[in-house]
Amino acid sequence: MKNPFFSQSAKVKKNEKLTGKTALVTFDYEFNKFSPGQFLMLSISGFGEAPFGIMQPACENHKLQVLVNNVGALSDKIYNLKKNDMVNIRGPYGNGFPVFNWKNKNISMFAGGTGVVPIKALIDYISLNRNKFDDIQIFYGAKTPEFIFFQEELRKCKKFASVMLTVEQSKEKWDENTGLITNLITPKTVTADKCIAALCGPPIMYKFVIEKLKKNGFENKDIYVSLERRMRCGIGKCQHCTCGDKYVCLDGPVFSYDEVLKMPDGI
Amino acid sequence: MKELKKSHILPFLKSLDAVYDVYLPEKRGKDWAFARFDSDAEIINKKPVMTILPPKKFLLPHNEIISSCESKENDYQNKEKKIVLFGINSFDLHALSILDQVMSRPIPDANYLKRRKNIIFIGIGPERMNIFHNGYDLFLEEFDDSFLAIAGTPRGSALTDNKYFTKSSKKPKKILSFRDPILSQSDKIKEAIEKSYGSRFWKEIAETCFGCGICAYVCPLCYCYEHEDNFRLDDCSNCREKKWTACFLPDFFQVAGHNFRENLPERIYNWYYHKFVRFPKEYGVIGCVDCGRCIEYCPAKINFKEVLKELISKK
Repeated sequence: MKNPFFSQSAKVKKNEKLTGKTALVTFDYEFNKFSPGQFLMLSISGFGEAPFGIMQPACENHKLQVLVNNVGALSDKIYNLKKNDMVNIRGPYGNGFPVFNWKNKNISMFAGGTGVVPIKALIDYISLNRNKFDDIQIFYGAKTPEFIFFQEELRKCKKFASVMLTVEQSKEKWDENTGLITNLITPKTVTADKCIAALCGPPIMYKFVIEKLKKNGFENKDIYVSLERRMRCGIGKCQHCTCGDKYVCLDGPVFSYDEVLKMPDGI
Repeated sequence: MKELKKSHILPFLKSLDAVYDVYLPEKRGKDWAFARFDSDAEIINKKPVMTILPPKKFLLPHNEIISSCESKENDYQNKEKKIVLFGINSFDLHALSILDQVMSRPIPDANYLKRRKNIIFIGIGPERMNIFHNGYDLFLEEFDDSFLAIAGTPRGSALTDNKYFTKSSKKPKKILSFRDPILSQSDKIKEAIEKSYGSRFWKEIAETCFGCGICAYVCPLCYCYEHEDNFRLDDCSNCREKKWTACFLPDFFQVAGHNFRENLPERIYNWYYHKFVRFPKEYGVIGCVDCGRCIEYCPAKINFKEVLKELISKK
């Protein structure tokens, strides 16, 4: 029987610093099969293990990418990885966005801060399977322009999707919107008709974005959120990621808002 | 059927000790704890006792190495000698059969299952109680001057080939079914817990509870854990270890920048929710075998059954 905690080693291909605290690390590694929204457990021996959202964009030859925010011992180590350094990886875990059920639907995506990762994975999937979906909208909010990641890729997305970016404040020149992401949601911009909403960001964003979406006629079952919890095992045993009667690592991290409402402390 | 004379227990254990590492409950002050069998022992406890820590400490050991940077093996290798746990009471055997379910599905925990295969469980008692799925390899059921040997598995049966067992015409006693009346009302408990989320009730419990997590450590059906990277001096390698923890501890639900259950009442609620709501949904039984350890060792003298009674009565 396989040890569920056995990790594969992966070599760093490149490490791009996005801001003073955030880096996008590309590995010479790929998951043969994963769905957007799934996560992996990445570890560096001696520094611990943590969950990261999986991105494998076509522009990087489908190689694995993780976005890391330098906030602790492990993330500091990952932030400072150099080419050819080795890390350990196990996964993919959990359930991603149910893209197979979204055929011919309009998709509206809402990302906040570093919550852009699963949304970026979803955008990558949609860009490769564009004809399966109808209208695509991307809403992305962050504190300042430097925290809007993947700006170049998002510009390219404008070919097949409406992209709306917003920042809370900007000192430098900023051509896009200023203000909260909720300001971008109006009955004109987001309509509930055959539309699916996919959200990832801080819990506070969920509260207000969902409120707006509901006002615009969205049903709970058509709103999908990706939940964050402390995850250790990835196999539904260690109890850290429990949310009501669900395990975020097994049943999630992507849940429909219908399911979230059944959890006592989902959002 | 075969039986074992009470006077033959000690020589039987000595013969087992030659082949296996034998552990059994040993008196520690007023309490009991599992300890290595002392082959020079002259008296041995033949009654079922409640050890401080349940047998889970052998199946889910604290500090278990789950991966090592030296190891390139995908398979978990158990190089330990086979263990015999002697003198397990019915509560713990019942818990064991439930823990087996937990560790087998939906995703099996290979480390647990391999250890499970490596350990032979010998239960003891005046009769078997609440043992629905066996769980034991051999159960020694007490009669006047002997124990009737009831085998639960082929390897338990093989143990009775030992020369100290003799043929018996005794019949196994009926398996007793007993449950505290409060725990029989599992549907009511479930409903009351679900309804009480965020209520003052849990804040009041938190005023007495220290949040120390002892109840989780001593519970035969609490199995949560933390991973921790450590350096091993013996072979100078890094390894990842599984550490016991408790969902009562403040950082159990902490992530970078947020604690999902920051306050003690939420964490207390989660413990009750797990045992009496999530557990039944996942495995069809409550996560409690009523062994009483959490009541016995709670420094704040909280009795979870009293808590449940009060909760149910508050409608």
